[in-house]
Amino acid sequence: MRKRWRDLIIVIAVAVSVPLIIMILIRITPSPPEAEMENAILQLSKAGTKRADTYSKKLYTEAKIFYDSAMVNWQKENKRFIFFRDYQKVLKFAELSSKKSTQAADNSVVSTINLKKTNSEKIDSLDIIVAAINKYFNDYPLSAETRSRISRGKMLLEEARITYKKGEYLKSNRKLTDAEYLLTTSYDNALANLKSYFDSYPLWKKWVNATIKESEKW
Amino acid sequence: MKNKVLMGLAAIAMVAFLSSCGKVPQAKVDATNTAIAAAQTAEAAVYVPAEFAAVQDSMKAINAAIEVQKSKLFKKFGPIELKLDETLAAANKVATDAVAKKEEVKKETEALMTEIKGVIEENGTLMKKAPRGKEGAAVLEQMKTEMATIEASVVEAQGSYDKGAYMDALNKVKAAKERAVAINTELKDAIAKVKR
Repeated sequence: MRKRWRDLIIVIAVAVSVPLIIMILIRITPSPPEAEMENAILQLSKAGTKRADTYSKKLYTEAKIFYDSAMVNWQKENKRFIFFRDYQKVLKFAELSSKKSTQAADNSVVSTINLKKTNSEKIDSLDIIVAAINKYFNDYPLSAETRSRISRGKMLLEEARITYKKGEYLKSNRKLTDAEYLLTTSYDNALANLKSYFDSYPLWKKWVNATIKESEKW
Repeated sequence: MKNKVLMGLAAIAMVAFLSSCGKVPQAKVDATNTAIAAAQTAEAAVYVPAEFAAVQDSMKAINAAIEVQKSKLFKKFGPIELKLDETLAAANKVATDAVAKKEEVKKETEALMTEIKGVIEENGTLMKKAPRGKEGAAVLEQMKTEMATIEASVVEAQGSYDKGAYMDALNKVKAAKERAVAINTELKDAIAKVKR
């Protein structure tokens, strides 16, 4: 009878102590930085959606580097004995990544809006220059070099317009910068050439009149 | 005494068993990573960027979820396996979509190339019929220069096309076509003015 009671007590003790030990083990296990990493992924994804990889490249790259560092550290810690793990570094990198991603996303939105506006204005102003070139210099004897530059400028402007319509503002901006250089320098040169022509006009007129007068004497 | 020792050992074995019962589904992880790499090779980032980014984000979340489970005393990889199956299917779809989109852009580029060659040829014929004279000569000279630039642009587009950069080729050929059509209209107007 006594042995029975003893066995029962042992069974009860084991039945209570095993879950208790498990609970204690769970409690003393360092908790993983789950929420922080989830947030880092979310912010990085948001920045990607806002095209931060293109319009805020530096900040976005930094955010990605911090995220990768967090992952590497997390994997490293998980290789250690479960009760000796320390996720402080992971937390730090995850937070830095989230912060940089948010900055990259905000910066990208502002950059996109600004670039869109700048490109639109540049396209309009270059259209005006092209119209002026067509109006004043289409039948003007420009040099072959200037004609070629004007022609390349017009082509780049067209390519910039197409990429702009596709929402590729950075690509469009690069093309516009080249088009602007070719068209404005050509236009300025042509204008200077035309101006010098008219500057000399009174002198030529004088020479013509003098020649006519001289010939009348004969 | 013997019983006590056995029970204690059984309890420890149970804890050890429970804490190590979950294993990382490495084969599925590798298969999904391979599928994502294949989608990248198929230029999914160029032709279906949003879908490709979504797959990459899913994989990031899965990698994090795996680490979460690895951090726990009792691991459970069942839900992760399901997520891996979904992501693998999505990655395969993205690769297929990218190939289809690339083919679509390739066909569009080819069609535009044929069209622009026709316009360039017509412009050459119209150029011969265009009015000359003192002012007309300079205008024609400008048009000739523009046609040369258009032809150079078509050659560049062909170069991009040959390299498989169909999106770049398409952008270039579209711009060239716009310019060629503008010259075509200008030439036709000038010829019509003379006829009147």
